[in-house]
This record gives sequence, C-alpha cells and structure tokens, in this order.
Amino acid sequence: MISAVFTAILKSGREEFNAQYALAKKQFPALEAEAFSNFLQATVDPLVATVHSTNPEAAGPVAQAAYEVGLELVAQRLVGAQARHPWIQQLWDEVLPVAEQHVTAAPREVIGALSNAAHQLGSVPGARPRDWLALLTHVAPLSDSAGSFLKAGQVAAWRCGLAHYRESALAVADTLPPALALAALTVPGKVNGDPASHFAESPAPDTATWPEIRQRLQDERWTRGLGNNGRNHSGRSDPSAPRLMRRTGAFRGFGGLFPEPPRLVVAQDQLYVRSGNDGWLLTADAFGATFHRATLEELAAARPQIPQVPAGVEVPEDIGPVTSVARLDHTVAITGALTHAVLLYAVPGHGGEEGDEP
Amino acid sequence: MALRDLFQRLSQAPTNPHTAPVSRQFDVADLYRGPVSDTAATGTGGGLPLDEKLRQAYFWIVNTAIISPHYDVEYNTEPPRSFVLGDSKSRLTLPSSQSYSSFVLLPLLTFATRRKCLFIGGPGRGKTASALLMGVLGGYPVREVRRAMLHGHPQMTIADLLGNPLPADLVNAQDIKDIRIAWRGWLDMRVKIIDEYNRIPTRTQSALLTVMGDNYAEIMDHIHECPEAAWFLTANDDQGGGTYQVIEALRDRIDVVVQALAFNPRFLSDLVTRIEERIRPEEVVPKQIIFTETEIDRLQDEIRTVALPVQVRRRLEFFTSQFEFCEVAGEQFEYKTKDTARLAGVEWATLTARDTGRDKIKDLGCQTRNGLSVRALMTIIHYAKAIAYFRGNPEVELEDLRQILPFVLFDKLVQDVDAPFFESPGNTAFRSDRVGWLRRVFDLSCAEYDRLNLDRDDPVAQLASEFRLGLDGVAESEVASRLVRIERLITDWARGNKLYGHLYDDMLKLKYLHQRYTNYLRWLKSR
Repeated sequence: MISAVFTAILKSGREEFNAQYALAKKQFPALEAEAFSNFLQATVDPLVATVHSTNPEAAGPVAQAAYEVGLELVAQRLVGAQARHPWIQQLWDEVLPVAEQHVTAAPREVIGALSNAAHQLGSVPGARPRDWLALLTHVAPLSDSAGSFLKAGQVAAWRCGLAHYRESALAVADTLPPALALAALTVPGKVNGDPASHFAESPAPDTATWPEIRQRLQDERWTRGLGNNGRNHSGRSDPSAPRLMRRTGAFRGFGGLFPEPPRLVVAQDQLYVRSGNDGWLLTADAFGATFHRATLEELAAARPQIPQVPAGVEVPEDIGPVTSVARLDHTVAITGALTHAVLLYAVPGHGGEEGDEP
Repeated sequence: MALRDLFQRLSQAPTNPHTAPVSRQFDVADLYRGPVSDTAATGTGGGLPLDEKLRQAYFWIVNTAIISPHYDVEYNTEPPRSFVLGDSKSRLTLPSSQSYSSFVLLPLLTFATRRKCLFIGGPGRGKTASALLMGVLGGYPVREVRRAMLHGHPQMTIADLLGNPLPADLVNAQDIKDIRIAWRGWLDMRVKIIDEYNRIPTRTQSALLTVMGDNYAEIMDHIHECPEAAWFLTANDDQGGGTYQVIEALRDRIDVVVQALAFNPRFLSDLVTRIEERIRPEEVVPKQIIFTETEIDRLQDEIRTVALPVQVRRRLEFFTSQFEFCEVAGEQFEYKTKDTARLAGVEWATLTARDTGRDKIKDLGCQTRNGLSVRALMTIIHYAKAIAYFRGNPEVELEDLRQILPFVLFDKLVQDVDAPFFESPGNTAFRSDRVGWLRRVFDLSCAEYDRLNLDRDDPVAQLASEFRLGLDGVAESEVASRLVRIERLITDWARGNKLYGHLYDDMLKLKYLHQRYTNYLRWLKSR
C-alpha cells in the first residue's frame, strides 16, 4: 500500500511518469511492471514519506528523482529480487533516509551518484560495500552540503577497498574540512558480523592530527595513517624487512580472474599481472587491491623482473616455488607456482607496521 | 669543436624511439558514474563542452524523439557508394561519413544561433512537434511552450498578437502614456513559435514583422523590448497556399526553410509503440541536453569564433556573383542588375527576351529572377559557422557551405522556371526540388571556379590584398603602376566580349580600387 503523499505525487505527474516508464520499457524490454511497482512501494515510498515528514515541499522533487533512478535500476535488475548484489538496495533502505537533508538538497545527483558508487563497490572483488554504507551513514550528519557529502563518499570508497582511487581521493580529502575527512576514513565502531571489515574499535582521531595523518597517507602506501587504529607498533619481528600485507587474486573457477597461476610484470612503475592470454593492472595499498583489464599497449610495454626474492622477505611455503617477483618503491609482489594469488609486501618506510596488515 | 668532444658527443634524440604508454590514472569522480545516467558527475550537462551538448541534443532527437529521420545533409570522407535506380536514373548515395537530418539539424542550429527557421510540409508531419522540442531545449516546461505558441488564424488581430491595453486605463487615462498594456507572454520567450504563420491576416503580419525584425512590440506608443530569441514558424504550404499571402518582408526575415519530409511506413512499428506507450518526446527530454540562457549566449559566442577560410569565402563570393547581374537592365554599368529591372516593373519575359547571346544554360545567372541580399549572405555565414561548430571543427569547410546553402536560399533565390536550364534532360526535377537545385547550382559554380583556376590565379584578389595593406607611404610611382595594372586587366578582360556575373562584380571591384588609387594620387600631387 503506497502512502497518500506518494500517491498524490504520482497522480499529479501521471503523464510524465507514464511516459518515462514507456521510454524505459522501450530501452529495456525486459523491464517488468510488477518489479518496478514493488520497488516503488517498498523502497521509494518510505523515502518519500521520510522526506515529507520533515520537508513537505521537497517530497515532490525527491519522488521524481527516486522514480527516475529507480526505473533505471529496476530496468537493469540492479535492485529487487533479481539483483546481482544487495548493496544498492541497502543504500536506498539504510543510507538515503539518514542522508535525507542531502537527498532533499540535490535529489537526482545524490541518489544517482550513490547508486552508481554502491554498484561499483558491489562489483569490485575485495571491496567492502558494507563498510562504505556504514561510513556514509556516519558522515551524512557531519557534511554541511550535498557536495561535501558526495566528496566524503568518494574518500570513503577509497578507504573501503578501491585502491586505484588513492591519489585522487587524497586530493578530494584536501578539499574537505579535517573532521569530515577523518570521519570518511574512520568508523568509530566495528561493523558487526562482517569479517571483512577493517574498522577497529577506536575513538575518532583528533582533527588536529589530520595534517600528520594526511602526510602519512601520502608518503606511506601501506599505512592507514590513523595511528594504526590505536594499536602500537610493538612486536614487529624485523622492521627492516618487507612485511606481507595482502594476498589478492584467485582462480577463475573459484570466482577469481586468473585461469592459471599469474606472473608479474612491471611498466611505468605500475604492477601488471598476466595469466593465460589476459593481463591486468594491479593497484594496491593498505585499504585494498583492485585489478583493471590491461590494454595491449600496456602489456607490450611491461617487462618481467628477475625473479629474485629480496632479502628479508618471508615467502610462505604454500605458494610453492616463486615464479615472478616485482619490486616497486613501496611494494614487493611475488607469485608462486602453487597459488593463483599475488602476495603483496610493504617495503619498509612505506607503512605496513603492526596493525596495518589486513 | 675539439676532436675529443666529437667522440664524446651523444645523440640528443632517442636512438630507437618508442611511444611510451602513459601511466594509467584513475579519477575518483568515476565512482559516481555507472548504470544510472545523469549523476553528479555529469550534472545537468553543464560540464560538457557546448558543441558536444549540441550534438547530444541532435542525436537524442534523431534517435528517440522523431521517427523516420532522413539523412539528407551528407558528408563523405571518401567517395561514397552510390546506386542508380529506376527509369529516371535516380541516384541513392550511402554517405561515408556522419550525415545528418536537415529536419533536426537546421532547427537545432537555428536554436543555437538564435535565428529564424520555417518548417514547411503537409499537415501532421511533425513540424509543430519539432518546434515544441526546441522550446523545451531552451529550458521551458512543455506546458509553457504550448501555451506560449501562437496559432495563426484569419481573425488574428494585433491585440491577439501583442497584447491589450488595460480596459480600466482606457476609461480613466488622461494621457496615452497612462494606459498600461498587458503584453502577451510569448514576447518574452527566448524560443518563439508561430504555428501556421501564413494564416495570419496581412495587417497583423506587419506587426509581427516589427517583432521579428526589430525585436520590439509597439501598442499605443508603448514599447516592449523582447529578448533575443530563436524563432520557429510553421506553414503547411509556403507557396502562398495559406489563408493570406505572406508579406515579402516577413518572408525575407526567415533565415532557413526546412521541409518536413514524408513518413516512411517502414517505421510504422515505432509509431505503434509510441501510441501504445503514450510517449510524448517533448515530455521526456533529458535534462542534460537542456540549455540555459547563459549557455545559449556562450554558444553564439563560440560559433562566431569559427573561422571562415579565404578559400571557402572566395567560393561563396564567386557563387554570389552569378545572380544579380543583368546586362540589359541598365545602361550605366552599376545599374545592370536584376533589381534595377524589378524596381522599374519591367516584365521578366520582356527582359529575358532582350538578353544578349550568352550561353543561357552555362550562365548560372539565367536560372534565377533575383540575386542574393546582404541579409542572405550573412545568414549563410552564420549557419556555415554553426554547422562547422556542430561538427566540432574550428573552421568552415567547403562542404559545410555546400550543405547549408540550399536551406538558407530556399525561398530567397527565386527560380526562373522558364529558363533553358530547366528544360535540359535531367534538370526538370529541379523545378520542384529546390534543395537539390541549389546544391547543383553551387556545384556548377565551384566547377567554373576551378576551371578558371581562381584559387591560384586571381588578379583581382591580388590587387585587393595589396590595397588592404594600406596607402600610407605608397609612392606616387607605385600608385601609378597599380593604376596601369588595373586598366590593363580591364582591357584584357574586355577582349573576351561576353560579360558574366562574376566578371561584372570583378569589374566593379576594379573600378572601386581604381577610384581609391586615383583619389590618393590626386592628393599626393596636390601636397
């Protein structure tokens, strides 16, 4: 049962809403009226009702935007029962009502942008969309405008595993007030029941520490820059040796990318991974590791390095004989004959102290 | 350089240069791009370059809003494939480059340049719907565009067109200045639409002319200034088949004429879907392609910066020269024009009968009853720049000129349907196909231009460019020498006997230069 408010809005713009649906149906013939109706009822209606309760005048534009975006999402089966992942739906159910002030300020931009971001985080292996949604909920009341809220969302996305956005996310963080930038990188409480969550139970850092944290994030690829989330650095066995930070990548048969154990090559100070006839660019830091399909030109320019394990690197026995090694200023990467994963080590001086590892 | 240095010198250039792939960069702004269109990343299209936005608008209209587009503005990067069909040897060409539908492109360029476009064609072919779309692109809600659209009818008064004096003021006012006027809302629109303008009575047309021509409305000594606007007019029949004959001045104010071509029944299924799904394109125009007032201002500025190269300009000059000249219309050289005969009311048949022994098929001027006005030339230049801008080019190409010209000159260059050219085999269809005819005339003009080798050998252009450098400091002997060159050139050309339009204009230009040099020489001698 749709609320009276939403019913009235739908009635008042009936022709336009119907025309939009018809146009979407033309573009996406598989669009099902029932699925869209369910989405309007279960997801859009509560959002409109929430907005109406605090700002009745904004309910119309929010309903219009939610209808437009929802139509595209349902048509592409990105929400509802047939959705590939639950994160966009959770965004609408849990975050948008909390971020109501920003949704009201720029409905189409906020709803559309966040839906796209949730889709991206849900589609990148190893990213942590649940953490990102929690961060959005956290930063929404701290943001003074829809623009700063969206920027904080970008920084948070980097924090939640999208390592390839590292440089530009740091630049975006510079445009935010320190408290908001820190909030986008920290969650005060661990996300319950999510083993992938990186958030530690620590108090929010003092905003005065932001310049120092910002500098560490810039200089040290493998630090989280947040005082190691309250942990100390004691217990480090050999601080001069590279430290294993992450195993990333998996066999295609188990949902990963690689048809056979990968090999590493390097070009333009970037790591590339070859497996079978395919190749990927690998970006990694303390917050995550992501693979991006490499172009033929990139692969042609990439060269293998001598597979000599640097001194001090502890190679786990289970990977078998080392098949390739790649050394960058901040990272050592190793592959083995018995694994489809790439092992990533932090070079000393680039973070990777106790507590920075996953 | 010491021998030792020679041996120690290293090549500054790379020994085996390869293009290094650029290190891949990622932008966190991409986080907000994805399956949902029109997000913060694209905003309302504000971040797009305006030429791209214009192209997006074009392709949205062509692909979504209209059914059955005709690609009659053809561009080719390599020779196109063409096929000859039927008894009349009709030629079907498959363009090798991106080509466009004039019915969409011309209105869009009109919108971008804020000029005036007339849609013609039978009823129910989408003329009004296309005009409506332009209003929506201008940022107006559909309802507002519909309400502001003027519908021509035989009883339309000036008050219907412009507004009414307030009745209370009419009774109480002591002075005409005290009478307030309720101006019609459409006057303030930046996109003005007049449906069936040829049904408006002649007197009301005159009031409309003031608004179209001078951008203001006047009632009882009160003036209402209108904003600069794009105008879209429709007519079921442009040949005087409306209720009233359209006054010539009003027709002359129209910049381009676009014909709504027939519906291709092969696209009937799209029509069925549209009916079943109740789609009205004007109601679902994407926000990204809606232009703000500032953006349209900027569009105009950017279009003006598109260059018109000299080579292209010369072709336009040569083409224009073909038409105004009429050897028998006057005795004095300057008055040998079709306009002289027209102003004197000389019958056209009498005039053509007296014409000299020129080759009436080869002489392009024999195909028309008039020449080109300055306004028409300015319009051609505006639209040529606009289409080049639309195609993303910094300067106008000859093909831009060729494609745009027929739509500007559609009703400005009046055919002499009795001219021998139209009797020739293969040319009779040009009596009804004015777009095709104008393109053919332009092609013939360019062929003649090439035959005369004017790109390389144009003595008038050389003399003109010399003159443009200025007269300051030019010595008496140099001036005398230039005068001799001018006179010698005229003497050479006079030996050719026949006088054609382009020669006539060249002669007048030479006379102008001669006069300027003569005056200067006289001044030099008098010092």
